[in-house]
Amino acid sequence: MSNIAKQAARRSALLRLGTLCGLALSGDVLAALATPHGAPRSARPAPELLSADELALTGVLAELIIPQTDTPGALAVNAHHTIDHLLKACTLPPQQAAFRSGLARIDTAARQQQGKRFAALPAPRQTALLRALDAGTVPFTPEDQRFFRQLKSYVAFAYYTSEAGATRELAYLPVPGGFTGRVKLTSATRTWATQ
Amino acid sequence: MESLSSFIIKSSPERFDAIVVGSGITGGWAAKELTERGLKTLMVERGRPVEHRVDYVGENRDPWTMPNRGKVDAVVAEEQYPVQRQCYAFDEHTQQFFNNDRDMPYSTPGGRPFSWIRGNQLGGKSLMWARQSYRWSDLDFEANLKDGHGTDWPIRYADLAPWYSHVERHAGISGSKEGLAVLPDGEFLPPFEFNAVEQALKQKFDARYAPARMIIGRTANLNKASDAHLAQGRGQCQARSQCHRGCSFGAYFSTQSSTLPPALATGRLRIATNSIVHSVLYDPKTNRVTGVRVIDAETMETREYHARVVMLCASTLGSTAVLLNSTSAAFPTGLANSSGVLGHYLTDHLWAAGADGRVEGFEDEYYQGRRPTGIYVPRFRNVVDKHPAFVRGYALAGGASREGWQSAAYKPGFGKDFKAMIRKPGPWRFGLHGQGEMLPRFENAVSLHPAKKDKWGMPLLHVDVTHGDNDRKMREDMADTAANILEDLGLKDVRKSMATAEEYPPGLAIHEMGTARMGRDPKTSVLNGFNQAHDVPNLFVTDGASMASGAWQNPSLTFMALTARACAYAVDQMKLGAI
Repeated sequence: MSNIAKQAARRSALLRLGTLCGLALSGDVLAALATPHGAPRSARPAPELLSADELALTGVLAELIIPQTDTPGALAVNAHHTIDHLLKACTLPPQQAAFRSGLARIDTAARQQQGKRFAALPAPRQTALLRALDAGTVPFTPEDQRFFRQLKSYVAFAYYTSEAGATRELAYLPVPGGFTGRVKLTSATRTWATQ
Repeated sequence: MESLSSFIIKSSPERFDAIVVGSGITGGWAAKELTERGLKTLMVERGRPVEHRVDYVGENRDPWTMPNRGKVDAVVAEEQYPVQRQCYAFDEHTQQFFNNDRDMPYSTPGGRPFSWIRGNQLGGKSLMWARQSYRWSDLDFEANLKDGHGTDWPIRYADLAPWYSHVERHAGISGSKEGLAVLPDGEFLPPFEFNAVEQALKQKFDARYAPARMIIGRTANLNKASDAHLAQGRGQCQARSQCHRGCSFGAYFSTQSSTLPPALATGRLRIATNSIVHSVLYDPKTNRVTGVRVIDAETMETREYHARVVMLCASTLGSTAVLLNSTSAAFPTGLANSSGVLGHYLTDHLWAAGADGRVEGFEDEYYQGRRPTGIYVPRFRNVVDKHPAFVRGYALAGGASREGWQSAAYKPGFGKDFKAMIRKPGPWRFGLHGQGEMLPRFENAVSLHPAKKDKWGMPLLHVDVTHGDNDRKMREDMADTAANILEDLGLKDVRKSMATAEEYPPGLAIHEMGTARMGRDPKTSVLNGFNQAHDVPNLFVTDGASMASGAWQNPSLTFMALTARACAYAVDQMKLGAI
């Protein structure tokens, strides 16, 4: 098992433990899990583009978008690190700047409304803010809403192209063996991870 | 089989029977046909060798094992692949099969872009082509004669029909027999299946729009491998739909999977890779070509190869560029260009216009596997009734599928419910998009840039192409008609789409054709009805450059049939002592 996989498994186990113990995993706990601070370098790579705070905020948002359920959530598959890497490798400076300013607007709104940065808010407050962001309503703007859609697409990409996202949450068939035009959908059917 | 490297040569004092320039769809076919007919043949390829299976480095890679999950590095894409990145098949798994634009530039006039998608390696674009395989009919071969655009084709469907059969049997085309006059049936393997929504829409469509019909796309994938294909070392399609990464099952037609193995098995084929053809050598005393001059892509050294016959299969613009650069006192504007039309009448296909919408119901229906083809509505415009706004016509292609996580971002919500929603297949969507015939016009032309050269000292190709009035009107009808059909079939939220001129530059359909066209009259065409140069009898051009018009079907199957036919003719002529 690679270090990254171990980390993901450990984080996933922590989250499950938290759920079992009835702990509400609030923002700061998630942020602590997501943040690269205080971890050995080899286990938790430093962010490539984002600051430590931005990476942690991305992790918190990612987990709120695709949370741990009966399968791992975005944090457990390191979606925030994937996003950080893809921003660095596969986008150009204007898109990178747009992503960071989108994150900053979320923190600004949290501070203005609640007096704390987003990651430090209790879970219900975070959820309420994200609802407003998702709808593009006060304190957010349609531009913020567009950023949130983009963020959701990054999170979905990072999560559903991860091993757990593709193979545990969805159905993944690398070699289908042939094409069948009609299969009946049952309660057990899951979306194909690849189209 | 021996490894590929044992067939690769650098310099050779030998005089071959034939030289084939290029190793893609037509080069592979030429090598197969010529060697099987007894000719010692040299295939000359400007790019690197690519060995079947061994060099498919992007294949069998799960997304989470790719450094960028399938996405291409942004700086690399911008600096080295600004054109190739526009191709739908260009990604982290396939990047190695695309031409590096920085190393191989070309020129366009300001404000008139042209996107030239290239695969310069052994196998060429046969490695990552879209595999749609359709016969043309006399509607297409007679079009120039009937409406006066372009010059008359020197052949008709009957000339090509047996050669279509020949190439289909070997390549392996999956499709359904339909008995349609506009799209003749071929030698098909069993067709891929429709899904539930496509089946329902087909029933409605066929009833309302007869004689137009919705059929399954005919594709060069072995939906069921025949014994002949198994004997080629090829296996059945696994429905991964990752063809353009290379397929170790050999389940789609490529040079590597299908034409190279029998050519190599004859023992008569040699391959010179990394050999950029500078020009075709011409002897004015005999009025014959004698071989090719090449520049070594790695060492920049110049060398020559000699043969009794030269077949240009270097891609539409590649072959024409070679002819334009082969100048002599006899042919000051390019080899075999006494007509003056070499470089002219470039066409591509019209596309990026159509519609899509949501299909209600069918909640309990899904599919399994990723089908490497879609559905297809063969041409219906200007078949019987004349359209008031434009001549010629188009096909509509598309398919139905259920939404997956890819569209999740555009839906409201987040959290557990959002995740649960994505876990279940989303609503059905269905779309139809056009692929239409662009008229051949003299002013759409390529030439050699008078000053600019690439790093091998080769003059840059200058490509000057625009869409015309007929082209624009046809595209509008594609989008309007697609949207009307979808409304009529009962789809909801129908969205018409038509890319702007900037979003779809000519070339990006990757069906560039013409510039060394076939014709009956040596004064107005470069090649005769056997793809043989009117001016120089032992010179042939069998790729897309030879097309006198572009029709509306994907052209590769026609390139294959023309090549096989030209090779048989060339060998007969050699035996007769005529060349």
